[in-house]
Amino acid sequence: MAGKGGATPSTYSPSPTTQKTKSLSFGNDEVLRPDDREWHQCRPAFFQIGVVAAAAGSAYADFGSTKVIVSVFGPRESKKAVMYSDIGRLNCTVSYTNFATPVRGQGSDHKEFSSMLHKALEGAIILETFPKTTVDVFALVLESGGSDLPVVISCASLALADAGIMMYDLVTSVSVSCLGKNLVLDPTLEEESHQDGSLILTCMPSRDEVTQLTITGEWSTPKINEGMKICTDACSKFSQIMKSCLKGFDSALEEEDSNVD
Amino acid sequence: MVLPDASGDVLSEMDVDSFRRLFPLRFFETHLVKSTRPDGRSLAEARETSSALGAVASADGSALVKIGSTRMLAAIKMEVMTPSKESPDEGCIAIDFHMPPICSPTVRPGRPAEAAPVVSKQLSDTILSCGMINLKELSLISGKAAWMAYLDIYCLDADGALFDAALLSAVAAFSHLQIPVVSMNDDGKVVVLSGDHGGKEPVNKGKRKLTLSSIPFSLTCLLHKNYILADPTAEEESVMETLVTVVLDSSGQLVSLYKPGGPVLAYTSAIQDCVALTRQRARELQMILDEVTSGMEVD
Amino acid sequence: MGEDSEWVTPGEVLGKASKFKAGRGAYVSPDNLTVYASLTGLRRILSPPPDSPDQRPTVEVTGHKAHGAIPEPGSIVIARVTKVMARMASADIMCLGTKSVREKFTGIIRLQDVRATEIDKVDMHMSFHPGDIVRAVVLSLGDARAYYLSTAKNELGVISAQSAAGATMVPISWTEMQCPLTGQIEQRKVAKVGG
Repeated sequence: MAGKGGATPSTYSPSPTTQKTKSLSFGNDEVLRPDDREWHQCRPAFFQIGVVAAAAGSAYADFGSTKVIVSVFGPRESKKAVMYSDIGRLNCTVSYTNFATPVRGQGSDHKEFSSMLHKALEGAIILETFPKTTVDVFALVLESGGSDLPVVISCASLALADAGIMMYDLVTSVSVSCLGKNLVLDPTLEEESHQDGSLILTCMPSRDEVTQLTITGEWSTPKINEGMKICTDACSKFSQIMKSCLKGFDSALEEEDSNVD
Repeated sequence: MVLPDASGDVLSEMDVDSFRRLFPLRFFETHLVKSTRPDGRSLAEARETSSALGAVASADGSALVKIGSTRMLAAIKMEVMTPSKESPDEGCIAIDFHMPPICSPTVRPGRPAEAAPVVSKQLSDTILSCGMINLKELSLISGKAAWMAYLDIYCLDADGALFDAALLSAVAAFSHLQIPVVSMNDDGKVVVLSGDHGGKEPVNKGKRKLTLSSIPFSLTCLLHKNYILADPTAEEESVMETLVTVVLDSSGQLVSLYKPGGPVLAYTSAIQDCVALTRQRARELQMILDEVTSGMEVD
Repeated sequence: MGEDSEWVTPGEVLGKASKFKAGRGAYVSPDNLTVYASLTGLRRILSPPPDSPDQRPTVEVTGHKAHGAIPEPGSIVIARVTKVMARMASADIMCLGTKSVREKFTGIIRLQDVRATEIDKVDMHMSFHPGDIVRAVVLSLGDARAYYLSTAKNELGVISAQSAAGATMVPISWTEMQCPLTGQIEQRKVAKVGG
């Protein structure tokens, strides 16, 4: 029989959908995170540039089980019937592979992330340097392991730098989840599914400027301040890794580094 | 007024890069007459090929394949279905080939690449007809439950010979596939058994790997005049448009042959040459596959 | 660090604006009057010309790949004619200067920009044919669709064309090219070569 086509029978994943984890007791200070990290510790991060030969610039990022590739094309002729513009245009699309999520998805474009990526990067790019033309930033999430958007944003900024697009600064992004009374840096998918609130901070680290701040869920003011502080510190750490990646040095986050808190 | 030969002058003052862009066919022909190609390969030579298994942790089987700059990521996710009445003892395989916008400047979001559905269909036809996988091995409980193997192949970097790279990644992903151990729960649903079996008997004990018989290997060749170029790059494919793809199985038998039109009408002898090149290539690919799968068993 | 210290990435501080001018791959932030890098590459300092009123050295970032060139007014381009209409011809810009562009940019040559003299006598179909390779100058960024190109100079115009018989033609005057196979003469706006 044919393996595919309109008559594909309905299927289901044999994996339990909501993982009843060994009691995620996040309220308890003694307990470490499921992957044994400290609360304010990031996952091991790895960046690489120049991974897609067909693109003008590209980057790969892997934070634990979150893996993304970003390709940059252009500056090139603006497609579609767009208005004439004296400055350049930025066009961003984020999509997922069908196998990115624990339960097989449909791999469609992620409209919300596409627009968030655009807004996170727009302010950092010197659009005046490529009048009338468009720079396309396409991200593909190969595997979704949590904190997907921040990883996509940081990776996209590296790909833009690799493509030689003029920028005011690199853009780094990181998120914290509010879990009970704890703030959890760079949360995994599992931690995100239990969070009471989420804070994503995107900044230009050398210039100390925030390009995007997204806060959802329940937060107290002191918690927001604490969350922003944790994120800013993590962003400056990531920017060091990204810089050494661009300079061609080993770009993996050293374990010792990430343990310092 | 002296006006020397325009084209000669244009060529002499133009650098190689511009000449290649403006007169691609002439550029390639200057290499072909010397039996070489711009990237230094001989005409019959395929690009460096490598494979790595298990690239996607969340999938049941996966592989990354690289042929030159062309890169494919294939992953299989196993789901459960009720088999059809006509074949109660068989599972199913669904194959999809994707060209996301990251892979090529010619693909834009919302406008799928023309090549993608064509390659998708060719892959399905090849994999399902070559007899590599016995669909009976995907059965769980006769008439009640069987596996549906979703194979998704993503092109991460498109530089020609997409079908060849996609097929190799598909084969490698199947060789890496570990079927989850499952049992039937009280609601009649098939669920994955965790570490301790919780008293449940697995329904597919000892059937974690598929037997892969007669593995298909392919080689795409470009025909231009009397030249045959093996394993073309994207640029070569765009300049010279007649492609022939030959698929042979591990025992050297012909599985399929595609020649989707093109300006060159191939003589039988050219087709025979393509088959001979594919035979040689199949041996190389078999070795690459053996190497990565043996590495897996050591783990 | 030695030579590594010369490598910079976007956002790295290159110096104070009071001490340096920003060159290529660098910009000045008006907020704190600091010069920053906008590209990845090697930081270089260029001394000002001795007669310059501004005696600050220029700091620039070079060496790493910058993005592919884009057409700007005044750029000399090589383009392939795609379509010839009564009042204009469309052409795909393939090269900027001597460098090829990765993809292509669309340009148009309007009737009034084909040649410098006797503009009212220009016939587009006697000037260009689809497939011709022309050298042109970018007049302006044009409109939403295309860059405006001009061939109104002696050294601009068709630099390579195929005859109806498929052979590369030889220019025989400013307005004519000849097929080496059939001897047939075709009309073109021919570029003066070697200029």
